[in-house]
Amino acid sequence: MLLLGRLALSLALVLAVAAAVFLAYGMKTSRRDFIRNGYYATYGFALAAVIASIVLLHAFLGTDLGFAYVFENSDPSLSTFYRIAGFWAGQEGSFLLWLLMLAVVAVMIAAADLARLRRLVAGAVMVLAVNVALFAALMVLDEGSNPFLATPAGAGSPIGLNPLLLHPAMVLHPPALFAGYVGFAVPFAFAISALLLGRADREWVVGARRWAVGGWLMLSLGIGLGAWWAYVVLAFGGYWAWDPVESGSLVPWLTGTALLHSMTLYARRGIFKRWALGLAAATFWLTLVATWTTRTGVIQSVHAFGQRPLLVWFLTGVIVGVAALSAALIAWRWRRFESDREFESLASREFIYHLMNLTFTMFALAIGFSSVLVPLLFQRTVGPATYDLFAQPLGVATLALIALCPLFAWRRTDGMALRRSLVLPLAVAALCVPLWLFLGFQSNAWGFVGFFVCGFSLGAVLQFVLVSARRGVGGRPWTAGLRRALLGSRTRTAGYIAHLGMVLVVAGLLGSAVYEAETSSIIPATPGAVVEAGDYTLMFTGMRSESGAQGSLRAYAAFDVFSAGGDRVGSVEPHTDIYPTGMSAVRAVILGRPFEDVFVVTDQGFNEQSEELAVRVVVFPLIRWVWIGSILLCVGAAVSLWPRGQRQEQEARDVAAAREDGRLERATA
Amino acid sequence: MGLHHDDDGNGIARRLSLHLGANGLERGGVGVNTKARTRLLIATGVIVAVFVVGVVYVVSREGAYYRQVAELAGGEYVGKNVKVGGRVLGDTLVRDDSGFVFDIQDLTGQADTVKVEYDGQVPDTFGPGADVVVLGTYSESGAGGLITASQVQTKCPSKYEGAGTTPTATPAP
Repeated sequence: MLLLGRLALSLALVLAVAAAVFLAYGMKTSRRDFIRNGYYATYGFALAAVIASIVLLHAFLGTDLGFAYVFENSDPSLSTFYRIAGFWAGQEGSFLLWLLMLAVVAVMIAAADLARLRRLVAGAVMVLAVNVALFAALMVLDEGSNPFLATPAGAGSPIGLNPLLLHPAMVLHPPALFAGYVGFAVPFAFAISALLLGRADREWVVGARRWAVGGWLMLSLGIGLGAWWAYVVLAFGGYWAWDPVESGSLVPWLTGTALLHSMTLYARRGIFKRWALGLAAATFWLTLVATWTTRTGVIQSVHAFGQRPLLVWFLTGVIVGVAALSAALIAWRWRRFESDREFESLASREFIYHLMNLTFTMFALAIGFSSVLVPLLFQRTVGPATYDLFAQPLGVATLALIALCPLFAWRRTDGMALRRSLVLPLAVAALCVPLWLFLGFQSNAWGFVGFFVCGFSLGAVLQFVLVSARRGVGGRPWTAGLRRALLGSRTRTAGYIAHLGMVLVVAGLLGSAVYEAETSSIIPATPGAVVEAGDYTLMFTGMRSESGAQGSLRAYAAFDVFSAGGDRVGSVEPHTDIYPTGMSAVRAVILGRPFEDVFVVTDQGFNEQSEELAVRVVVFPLIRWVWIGSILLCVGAAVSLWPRGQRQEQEARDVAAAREDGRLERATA
Repeated sequence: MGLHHDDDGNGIARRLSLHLGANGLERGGVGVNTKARTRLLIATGVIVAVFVVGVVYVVSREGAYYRQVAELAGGEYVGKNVKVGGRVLGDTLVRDDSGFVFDIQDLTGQADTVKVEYDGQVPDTFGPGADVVVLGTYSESGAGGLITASQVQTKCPSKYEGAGTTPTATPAP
């Protein structure tokens, strides 16, 4: 089976190279037969990637310890769910999963184009094939990246999955991130193809947009799951630590967000073309950099892995190559990708979008600079407090831009109209003030400003809905106008949901980061011992233990929680899992209150014999809003991706909407 | 989802041709817009400049030197922020209500140690023999070096390489 896996990888490499060559020639010469054969080769390498993946999956399901990779990442006691997760628990399998996803995406794009054999699409599939070839080559050449190696003789007993990773969120987090990265490979592929062909029309954006939205959705999901896992499992009392590896996934998310908006503007209005090209290249490039920081151990991180020279040089070469190629192509076609429209005024929606792109890009640059360049060039490192210093104002600034955007008109904005449309958002922001005061947010001036902006943004979303509802009425009942405003255009509906999600996320981040309150104390393990934590009092009531998952012993310490008024608001049982291997993991428990979470964890593992407990209590205001908001962001993306039921009808509506937009523009001009 | 591209393409292309038509007419009286363009460039330049200066300032003020334990001796880093990786020496680890005190040993094969004081929270993988990364201010007294730590992280029990059984130290030079 090892041999079959290795053969399949080599076959994928050969066929991917063949596909790239055929497609490149077909694209250059417009020879449709070459493009068709290139597509067939694409089917071939995808099939090879599927075979290799099935071989590895089969080995994991049967826990075939002859595979060194299975030996290191699984053991027979695991449930089927976690056996499957072993597939991507290590680097070798992660690369294979990535290769598989890339290949499947390439095939889907090729299959959809098999009847038309367009040069632009052929170019995009070619870029993806090169990508697949590079991955396959790395896996074939680098021992540490090949999942099909035999276990060395006398290796002992299997190592198994790390207990900390035995959590559903951690099983889904890596594939979600990879899917996100693969999704962003598509806009890059189409952008390179459009640049090579000099096609400054909309076709490449149309071909790539849904993949970009899908990639963004998966990346958001992956980051959200990782943060949630860190919050509930890692028990360090937070969800984000600005580790270079974490930042690595956030940076392409930021540029990817700007990319989505730029692509929409490109497709709808023929503007922001260079932004779209640059961001497509940058986002893909940043996913590579994220891989590079994660996999090469170049950057000192708590995730650091062993260094392997071949891998380092390979990835470094690819990163430099992609950057040089993209920059050269964009420079070459710079003039051709000029906007279809002139920029008219700073008081325009275009300018707000421009600011938003700038903010996201600079945010990404700042994080990249601090986490990659500073350690590499200056041998220095910056801590979480430094990131927060620029992340918090930038987060609030982004929210302000989201809020302002719909209040401005395209091209130029009439001052009177702007003042009128500011009324509702300002009113909502003012109405929210008592709530913020009630929650005690006046203790930090900067945080309070942030919350004011959150209220303003909420008002702006409402204002936007109302305006488009009123516009749609024209004699019909107002409910019809409202329905049209909320559901009339899928993109717009997605926008409402995602922006509402963003307001919640930023409010939740502000609340939980700026106003978190933490206390830790050591108490004797005798019932009746008390922990004072801000407004809460925890009383220890006793310990118990039971056998847990994977042969572990789980010890619980029970506490009753009392609020400031002395009411018992609940009970919590933080616990420790002690594994047969001797490893132990403390597990936090979280008591949800209407506006905050009470997070309780012991700082050290314990069992029923322990004489004292190190208890840490962290109060996180509004943290739930982060999770709810993240879900809304993903729902927003999903709405815009949902396949259209009655396509004809939708198209007609789109055309009507475009006409109406045009009319409105002339009216506001 | 790839299957819908073509239909999307037609829909959007059709409605974009409307925009193109409108553009053709509007393009005529430009001229005025060079002023708007200049303003756009100036605004962009100012924002980027402010941002770059801000980030560089913050990073240079807050940044810590990443060093090995063995490199600390010599006084060069007294009063500076340092980030140091090391292994917790079990017999030196003291924990009480005010926090932790422990020594960490160099990871590059040197015998040097440095004392660490820390009153915050540690991950559950922290303990005797753990490899940690300590962030804090370095000082020296008669008794040797001391890091007053603001953050202690244990090296991630990597999900990727052998789950915490192999210490992931930086390789010896």
